[in-house]
Amino acid sequence: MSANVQVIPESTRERLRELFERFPRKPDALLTALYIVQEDCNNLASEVLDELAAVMEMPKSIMYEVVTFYHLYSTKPRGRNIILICQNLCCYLRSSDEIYQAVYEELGIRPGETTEDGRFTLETAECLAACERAPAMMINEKTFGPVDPAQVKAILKKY
Amino acid sequence: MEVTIDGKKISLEGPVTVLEAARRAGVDIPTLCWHPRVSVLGACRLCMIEVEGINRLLAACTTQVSDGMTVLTDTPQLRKVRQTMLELLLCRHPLDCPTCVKGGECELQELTYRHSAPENRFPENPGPYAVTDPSPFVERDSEKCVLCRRCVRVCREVRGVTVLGAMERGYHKRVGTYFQQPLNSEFQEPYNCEFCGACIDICPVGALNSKVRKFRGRTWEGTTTDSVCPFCSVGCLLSLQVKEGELVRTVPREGPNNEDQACFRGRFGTDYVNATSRIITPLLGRNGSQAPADADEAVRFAAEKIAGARRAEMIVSSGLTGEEIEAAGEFAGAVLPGGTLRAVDTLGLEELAGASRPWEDLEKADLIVVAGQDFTIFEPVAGVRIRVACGKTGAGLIVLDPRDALLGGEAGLWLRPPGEGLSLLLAGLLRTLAASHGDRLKAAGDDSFLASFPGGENGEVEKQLGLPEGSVEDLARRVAASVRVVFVGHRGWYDPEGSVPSLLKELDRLLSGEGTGMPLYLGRDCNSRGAAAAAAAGPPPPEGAPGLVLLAGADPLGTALPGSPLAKRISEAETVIVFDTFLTETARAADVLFPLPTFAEKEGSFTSSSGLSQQLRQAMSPPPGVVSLRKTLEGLASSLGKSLSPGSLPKGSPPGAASPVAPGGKLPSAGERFLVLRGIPIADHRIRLVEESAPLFPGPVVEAHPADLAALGLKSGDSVRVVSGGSELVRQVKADLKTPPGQVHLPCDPADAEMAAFVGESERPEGWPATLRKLAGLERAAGESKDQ
Amino acid sequence: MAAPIIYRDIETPNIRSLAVYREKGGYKALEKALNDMSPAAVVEEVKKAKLVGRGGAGFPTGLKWELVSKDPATPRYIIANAEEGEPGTFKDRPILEQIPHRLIEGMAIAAYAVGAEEGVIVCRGEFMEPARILREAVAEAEEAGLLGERIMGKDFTFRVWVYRTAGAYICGEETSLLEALEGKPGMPRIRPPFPVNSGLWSKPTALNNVETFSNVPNIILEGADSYSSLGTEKNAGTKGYCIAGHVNKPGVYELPFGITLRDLIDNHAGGILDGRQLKCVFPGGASSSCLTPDNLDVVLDFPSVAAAGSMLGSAALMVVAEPTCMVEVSLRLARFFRHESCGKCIPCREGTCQTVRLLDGIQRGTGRKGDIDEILDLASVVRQSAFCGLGQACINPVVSCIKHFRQEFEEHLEGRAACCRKEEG
Repeated sequence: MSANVQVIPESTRERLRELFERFPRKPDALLTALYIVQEDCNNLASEVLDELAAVMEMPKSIMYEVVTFYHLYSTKPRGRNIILICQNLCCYLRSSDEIYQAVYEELGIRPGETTEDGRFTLETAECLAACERAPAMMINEKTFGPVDPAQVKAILKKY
Repeated sequence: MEVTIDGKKISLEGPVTVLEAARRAGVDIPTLCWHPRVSVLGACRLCMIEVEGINRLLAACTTQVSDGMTVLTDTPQLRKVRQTMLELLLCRHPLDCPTCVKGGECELQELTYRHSAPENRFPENPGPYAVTDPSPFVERDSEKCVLCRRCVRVCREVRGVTVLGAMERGYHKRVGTYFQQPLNSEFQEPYNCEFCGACIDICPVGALNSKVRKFRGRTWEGTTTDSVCPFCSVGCLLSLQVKEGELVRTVPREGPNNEDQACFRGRFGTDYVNATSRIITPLLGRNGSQAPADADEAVRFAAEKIAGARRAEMIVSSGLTGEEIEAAGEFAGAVLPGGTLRAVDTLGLEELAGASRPWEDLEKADLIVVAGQDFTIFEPVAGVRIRVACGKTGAGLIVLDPRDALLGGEAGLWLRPPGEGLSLLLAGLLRTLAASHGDRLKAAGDDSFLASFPGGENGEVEKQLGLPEGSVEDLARRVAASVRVVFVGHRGWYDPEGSVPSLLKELDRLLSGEGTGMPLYLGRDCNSRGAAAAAAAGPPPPEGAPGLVLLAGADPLGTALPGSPLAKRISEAETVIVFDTFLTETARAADVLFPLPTFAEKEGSFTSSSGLSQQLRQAMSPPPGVVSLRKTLEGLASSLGKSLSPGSLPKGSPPGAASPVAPGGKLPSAGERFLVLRGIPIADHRIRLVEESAPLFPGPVVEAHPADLAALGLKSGDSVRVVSGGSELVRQVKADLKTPPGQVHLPCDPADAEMAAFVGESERPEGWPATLRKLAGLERAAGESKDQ
Repeated sequence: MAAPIIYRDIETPNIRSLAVYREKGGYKALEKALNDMSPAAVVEEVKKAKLVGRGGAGFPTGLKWELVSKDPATPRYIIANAEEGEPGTFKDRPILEQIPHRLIEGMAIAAYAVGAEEGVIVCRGEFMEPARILREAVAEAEEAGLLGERIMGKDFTFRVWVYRTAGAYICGEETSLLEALEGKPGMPRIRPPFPVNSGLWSKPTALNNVETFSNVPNIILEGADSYSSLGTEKNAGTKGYCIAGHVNKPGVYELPFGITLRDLIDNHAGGILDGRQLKCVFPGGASSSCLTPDNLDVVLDFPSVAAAGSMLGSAALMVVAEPTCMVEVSLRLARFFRHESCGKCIPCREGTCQTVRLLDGIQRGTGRKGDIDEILDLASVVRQSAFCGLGQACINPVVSCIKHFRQEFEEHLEGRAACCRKEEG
């Protein structure tokens, strides 16, 4: 028991306290709380969720149900930058498979993998609501498209 | 409302679902995820129906009946849906039915037999989800899971444990735990598996099984007998299945106290009756020199001692049946010279003699006040009743409990009176109600009653107990604002003087205006109420050293009771005669020991905490030579030329209300002084005979809040010295979130005799403060060697 | 043609800012509602405008608001569904990113109409940037007294906050969205009760699509008659048609209901990509059945597309040109639904799984002879028995592909298809 070493830093706890004010009960704020903690702690590994459960005063099984239900939460270490490439129909019709291939050639990672230097994690995505820009790709907050496989290298370079 | 289901017209009052209406009309609609004890999910789609005028199918479990509705439950289209659902389930389900524990009573098997086709269109392709869970008692086999989530819902909604969840999404979805941890690891605290087995009962397939009773017989083999649980005072009804002389399975059955629930002791702990270590012949000789003797020899020996004694007292366990206690009383009155009868574990219960309060009353309450400690550990089913009642009626819940058990977190108000402060808090509540909410009281207060409780003036209580300012007034306001308040009390260690029942009774009387107020009050043993009624008839114990002590079922030396005076009496007695099933600590001290049958081997009755007398039925024969307590006592009496006769014990007057002990002054600050918080042993000697239960025992540790440990520079596993008054205890310390800061919790594992002695010390300082100190170097080495 | 209603002025530089939005007449509708109309009159005007929900179900918006306003329970909530996740749909994102105040104004008018004091814009998890822009817009509106207490000096309080779910298509379904907003897995609730009576935290809730709310300022300002002069008899006003896939100018085009599929493709989307042959169109996103070139003259409103055997849904038109393999298209869509099924009910969870398995066998040529019919049979059961709309619709697109292109499926099954012959191992 390492009661004095906190995985979730005090600054994050402060953000959580502000968040809770908007919700009737703390557990109602779970989705946003998970985002905040994932943002500050990189991922939602068990050491992190152990502490969050205590902060939120809720059963861990319920928390884990939520974490594993949604695509954008990760219990494993993530790269500093998250790449999402749409694999749905409009992007497929505009050759999104080639974008996956281009990322693989550049970074050596397949969906679900992280580069060894921890710079990028690649994830599949369903429709990103950017079909007019198919094939579409997101890095962190920013959406790119239409992406030409030849541009991938240049785009990645910026991160 | 009138509805027509498959041509049958029925009238009913709403709101009611089509499924319920159909069941009432005798129309069988198949279901899998639906279960009467848990919320409606609507996931299995087996109960789809056609409703006239609606051009799509509806699920019967989620559709409310409306007047004039015409429903069809069995059409080609519906049959097709059902068959497809079952095919889809079966193709992901291993077909090892012949060796499956659930074979023959599996709902999926039965549904498939009735509603599906001989061949499955979809190839068998079970999921890769085998779970190896090292937890005791419960075996999980996710491959067989049909994702009905009945287990998840019962674990959450009924038991409040919430260890199981429906993890992941879509075709990866599976029932599991937080990070796939074992059920009994500490990862979930305080939401940790209690091994109540409710998930096993509710599972329609073989995905959740009992590890203990696996392959010990199909459920329809042997004989099944209805009986009563022999552990706590809730009084759960059980079914006992016996095959070839062995108790192979215990399951809860529908009862007025337990609905259909039980806890790990009732379900798995009953395995003790199969233990080979039980006594099957009388034993003669004390402490290690005890040797089997034939019955005549033992009777002769005991008769001589009784005949030669000037004075004798009979001490009975509250775990004996009413009939056994009656026999012991008759024996004490008619046979023992100057005989008296006393029962252990009845403190405070005399107050409630004769009264009863059914658990159903919880569902008439608009406020439930729980005054107790760790209900959910010691009497989980009481917690279930409270939780279900609040869920059903929306009643408010107030919990007065120092420890962080499940109910506290579910309550609208949770006050944590430290240490032994509960009676002081209740006295404060009484005073505040009388002073500021007199108009709410239906009966007149009795000044002399309150006068017997020192301290507890307005405002003082919070200070003394370290509770937030105004919390007693808040508590009183909430109580006064409710129309029907039900108090649920618990015979915990916070109440050494046994004053809580009389306080609760007085609160109930004032608020309800009924002549005899009656809280729901849980005694310590399965027949505490019965024993209290019988033993209250006896006069106070004789002064001076006893000549002869007889103990039936009672084990004051082995259980962590505040029993030093009793232990002293036993050690000072000239002769000790014990009647018991196992060689308990007390039985080891006997000069002569007579075997007793187990609960499964006898008839009789237990009076539950609700005041209800329930019948035990004999499920199996005792070993040859083991006879009932009455038979043994009759044999003894007749060898002395006497016989048992009712009414031979003189009536005494019930003892008056005791005064509470107020915890002393200011609360200790962390790092220096702590209050001792005494735990309730989860297991007695019977449970310890069930090998698989070992991981559930706390072991010889003391527990404190992690923040306190950090402040003292301690971590789990460090050795500490706990000093209180003149006594001390060296133990490993364990970080425990349930223990409030500023207190040290002694879990009182029954095997930990030294801890029992420490807590049993009668010369403890007021309020029971203690210091906690880290052991260093040599001191630690000495402490650890002492542990062994 | 300039966008008349939803995206009006979207080309104006910095229309995202409150100042520019107000220069262009922004918040005039709210002002008019507060000054000149009773809440009931606002509801009446929206009813009269025949505005229907733009999320896909096409429920009359005015009626929904009336139900919420008549429920005695309080507080009541306004929720904007910005969970834009239906494949092929990208009509809300421009509103959120470029003209967020129109949405906020629409929500405020709705709040006034139903008596709500709190509103939430629920964005899909991937909408990090739109959520940030929305928060800035909300802050700006609060600063200007257009949100908060005593708005425009009237006895009207309304606050808005922005929420993001975390990556699950099912959250577009309204009750799943509410579950997600309450911090739970987005699994659909049992209905009834409906959100109008028991929505967020079991309170009456008006939950509408972003596009729906964005129509409201125009209806209030210009009047229902002017609004319903656009569109068809059944569907008034305009629609943001999303068109993507194999067209030369993919994009979102705001046009009055009543335009034909041919007109949209040829005259707005620049025709089929590189002059290729049109193969089929999914007119309402991934859960709609495809239409073949025979249907090019179908009118793109809800009833006409339904009559043609599909659904308009959120008007997400995915255009597929020759020579695309329809087995691969089917498999992509089936995998999508398998991935996005919440896993609650058997037909959707297991049905999507079996559909992928069967299609995979067909594509590889390892399937059994009856597998194509097996999919159709399974689909008919899943459609009838699934718990929510996702499950009920999820095999539709695959069924339509088989219906129109069965030949291709059979060729694959028999190992005769050149397109998907992959290297072994």
